[in-house]
Amino acid sequence: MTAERQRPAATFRAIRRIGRGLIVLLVLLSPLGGAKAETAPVILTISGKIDAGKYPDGARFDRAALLALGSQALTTETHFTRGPQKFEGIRLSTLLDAVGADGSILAATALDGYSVELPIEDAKRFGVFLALTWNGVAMKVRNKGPVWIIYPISEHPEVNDEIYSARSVWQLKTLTVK
Amino acid sequence: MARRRSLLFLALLALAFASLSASIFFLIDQTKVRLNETIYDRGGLSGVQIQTHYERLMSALVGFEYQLPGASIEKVALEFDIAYERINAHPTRPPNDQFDDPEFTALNANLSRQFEIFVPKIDRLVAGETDMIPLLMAEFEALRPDIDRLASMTIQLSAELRDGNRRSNILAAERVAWLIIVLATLSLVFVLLIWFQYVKAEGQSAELLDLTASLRDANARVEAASRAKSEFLAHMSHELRTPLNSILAFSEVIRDGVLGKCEPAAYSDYAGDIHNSSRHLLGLIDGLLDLSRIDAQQLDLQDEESELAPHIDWVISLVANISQRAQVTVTLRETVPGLRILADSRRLRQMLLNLVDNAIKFSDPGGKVFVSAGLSEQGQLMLTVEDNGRGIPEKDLLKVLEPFHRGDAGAYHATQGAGLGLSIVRSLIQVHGGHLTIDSDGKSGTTATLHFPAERVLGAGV
Repeated sequence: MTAERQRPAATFRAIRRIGRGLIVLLVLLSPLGGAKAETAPVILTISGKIDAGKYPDGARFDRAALLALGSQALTTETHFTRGPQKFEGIRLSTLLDAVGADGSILAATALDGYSVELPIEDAKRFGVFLALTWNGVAMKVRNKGPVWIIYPISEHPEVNDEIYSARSVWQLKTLTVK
Repeated sequence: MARRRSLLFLALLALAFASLSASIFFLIDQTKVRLNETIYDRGGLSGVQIQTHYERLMSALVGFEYQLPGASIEKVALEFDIAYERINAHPTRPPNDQFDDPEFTALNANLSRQFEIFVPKIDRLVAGETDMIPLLMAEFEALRPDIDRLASMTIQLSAELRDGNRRSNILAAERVAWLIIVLATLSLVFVLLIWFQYVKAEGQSAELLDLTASLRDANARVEAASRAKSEFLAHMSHELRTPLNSILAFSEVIRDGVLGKCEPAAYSDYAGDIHNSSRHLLGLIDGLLDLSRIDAQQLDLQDEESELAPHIDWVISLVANISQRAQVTVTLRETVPGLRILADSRRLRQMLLNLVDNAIKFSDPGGKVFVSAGLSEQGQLMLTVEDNGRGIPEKDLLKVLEPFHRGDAGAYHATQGAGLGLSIVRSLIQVHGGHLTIDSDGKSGTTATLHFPAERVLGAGV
């Protein structure tokens, strides 16, 4: 009984192993994204009203792809830290332009499920920043990474307000253009 | 002055209002900041978040251990990372986003250290050492009392913070209310002050208007009275002269015994006294007539061109009798040969006669009176009558020009006249466009000078 019960499981496991191998093979063979999927994990996904021709299933970015859009340095105070902090990353508007965002609201969701909606006009108005490196260290989940939305208080003191601290999502996972 | 004061007042008012408004706005702003802080207690939530993510980490571990759907090592690692971030984030937050509580801080620091110990273990788990999961679960479970304590402290401290903020908000609101009350009171006081000022000014201007009106009335009455007086004098003087002429003529006839000698002889003396008194009275009336004419502006000058010297000679010869009787010598000291003058000859002689007569009257026996004529640098004619009598005290110099003033009656009780002479002379020379000056040191003589304007001086002997 026991052996019989174990056999189908073993067979199933074998089939699953073969299937997984096939998938890996297919992914390796495919010219698009294969290498990305293996080497660098996707850290940010943008969906919603974006360029559907270019990104039919949403735009996925790994760290290098995000930085390639136009890496910048930013030194500013934040709502959640003491004193000026050094960041590297990209402006939110750069990313929105790159994906052809065409909406007025941006829903930002974090890894822990925290979600907030912010007006897209904030991006240009306050130079909203997507930080990827903090004080010279690539940001990880343990350190508010992989992406942190920063409203630069030092550039626009008026954003030192509860409304904007709520929009400053860390551990950012997805953006949805509405 | 009043305008400047009211401007200053307005400026002060504006300044006070501006500074009070500014302080109110400042306080309101402060209150807004405090209200923001009340809402801005997200720091308070972090303790609860730590508990939530701890639970999620625990359920991820359980899920993986019991192979529940959707469970994975990656999920365990992610939940650990998120919980790790929450525990380490709190101490680095800005001071106003933190609890100022040593126990909370110590608890948080301890958990932070504990989680640091787990980091290599989670890394090993991700690398594939899944058999350590039961041990990890037990170790994480041991942290539960601290996690729960942190969460409950968070709730308690948040509530305290909110209460404190509420209290300070109430205080701030009270302060704003007081300031508004003070401002309103001050505004009221200012408005009342302005109103009082306005009412006062209104009253004053009404009073001034009344005063002006009554003054104008009084002035009109005075002018009318003055005119009536002058007209009365002009008429009466004329009417008085007529009977006086009869008195003069008949008293002279009786005195001189034209129709035969008077018996007894005393009657002749009495008639002489009547004659002298009447003559004096006539002089007085003539003076009054002149004064009233001048007052009523009815004096018309009969300007004519004439030589000056004969006028002086005439006056000196006319007073010869009087001066002899008074034992005073009258001499022409200096003149301008060939000088001609444009003036009313009768009035010119009257003025000169008056001055010379006066000089004789106010001289002691043996005194000397000098008459002289000279030209000033500006071409004015100066006719000077100088005596060496006792002079006029300085305090009386101005008074002697007033009608009916007669110098010091005590010192010169013997002198005659109604005190009209100098006043008439002054008026007459003024009608000629000139003026009269009288100089005296009050001890040794008086100098009276008639100043004729240069345009009345003709052919100054050249």
